[in-house]
Amino acid sequence: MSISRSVTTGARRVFGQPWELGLLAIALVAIVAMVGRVGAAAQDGRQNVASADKRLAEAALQRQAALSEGRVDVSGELLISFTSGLTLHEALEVVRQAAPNATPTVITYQIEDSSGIIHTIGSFVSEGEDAAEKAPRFLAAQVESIRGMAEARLVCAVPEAAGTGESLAPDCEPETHPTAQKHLEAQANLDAAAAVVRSIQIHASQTDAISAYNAVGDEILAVEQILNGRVLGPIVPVEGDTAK
Amino acid sequence: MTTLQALPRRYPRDPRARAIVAFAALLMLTFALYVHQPPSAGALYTTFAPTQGDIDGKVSAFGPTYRDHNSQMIWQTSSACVSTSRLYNFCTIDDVFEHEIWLHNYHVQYPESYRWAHYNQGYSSNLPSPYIDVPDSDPPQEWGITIGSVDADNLAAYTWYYGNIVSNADNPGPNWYKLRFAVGDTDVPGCVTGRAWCMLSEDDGYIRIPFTSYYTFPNHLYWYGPY
Repeated sequence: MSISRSVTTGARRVFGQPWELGLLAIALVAIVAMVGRVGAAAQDGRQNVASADKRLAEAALQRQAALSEGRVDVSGELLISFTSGLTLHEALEVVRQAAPNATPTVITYQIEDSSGIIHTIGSFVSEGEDAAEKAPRFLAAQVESIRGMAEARLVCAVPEAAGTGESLAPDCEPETHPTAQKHLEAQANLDAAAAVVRSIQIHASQTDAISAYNAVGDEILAVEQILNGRVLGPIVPVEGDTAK
Repeated sequence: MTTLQALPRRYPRDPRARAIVAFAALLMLTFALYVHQPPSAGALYTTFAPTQGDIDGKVSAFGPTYRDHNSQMIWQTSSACVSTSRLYNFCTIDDVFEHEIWLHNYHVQYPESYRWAHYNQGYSSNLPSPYIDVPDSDPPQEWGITIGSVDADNLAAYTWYYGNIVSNADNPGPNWYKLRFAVGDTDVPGCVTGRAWCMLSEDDGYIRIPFTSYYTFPNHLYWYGPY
């Protein structure tokens, strides 16, 4: 008796019919496939994470080394974000100390209203403009506009000057949904005095940029490089680094 | 056992065999469910556009040499991560939403001479982690006034969101505009800046008001739907 015949005969004694054996084989294949897939996925995941961690670590080391040797050009647009909200005066002073000759290009305020919604106001500062003068004026104008939009939406009182002659819709109707109303009422009471500066974007030379990277700490949360409108990510400060 | 007797002959009558059949069927079902790829949260569901809003282009309150583009929008829909929700496409952490206004006058040879605003100078918004888009890779014939949210997974239903973009004044107009929404992804963690390019790949876009509607700035327009 051949081995295969022995196996078949033995299996028939256990399962009775060949189709039962077939079903069991299918079930076993399914189990093996599932286990294999789960195992492979887990293995891939571990490898991917390890590989990504390794690449990130290598990139960070290379960048640190290159930065300390002055081989990386980090001049240009940098985003300095703060550990806590500061007044404009405080924020500009922190930036001035970190990067003495850098020029602010964007001041970003935030205000949290009484319903928990965060309002972000970004004032761009062009060459020759004074950030300390322009940003508060811009903030005040925006807060007034923000409040006006909420008030108009609550009662649908659109100023005549706005000109509502064209419409893809029925006439504006006052908002009645309770959630929307709650947020609009909080927005209508927005207070510019509650605004804090969350970040300042600067245009910096290589010397100022490296100085700013090394100022990350108590007040500066991170310094990130921006290139062509993309945030390249934070750069770890280099101990004892000096501008080259 | 009338029911069993009524079954076809090929159906196993042995309880042990039926148990094996059931077990195998259950295993195969489990396997099928496992290998099936459910639609990810990033997959599109009909439309992701807000259901209502308005758009107002006017001389800026900040000064006569600036233009205001005030936009409001709301998603009147169910909670975010239900497949029937308009917000379903924003459920994953890297989802990005953009509200885009584009200026153009296609009926003239030199539309730039009618462009009523140019160069964005500031913004305000209550969108989660807003950013103002940069013109990199935009078509040169059109000027984009785009605000985005890099934390679109935090968008909530029945909340009026706004985006105000202040631009430099150009010509008095009228200037045709189109209103477009886009959903996409970013791979830039923490892409929260004044000016940034946060939507690195667009999954879908929806033109709510095409140029061919001939709506122009300066003006204030309400739009509703589609629901």
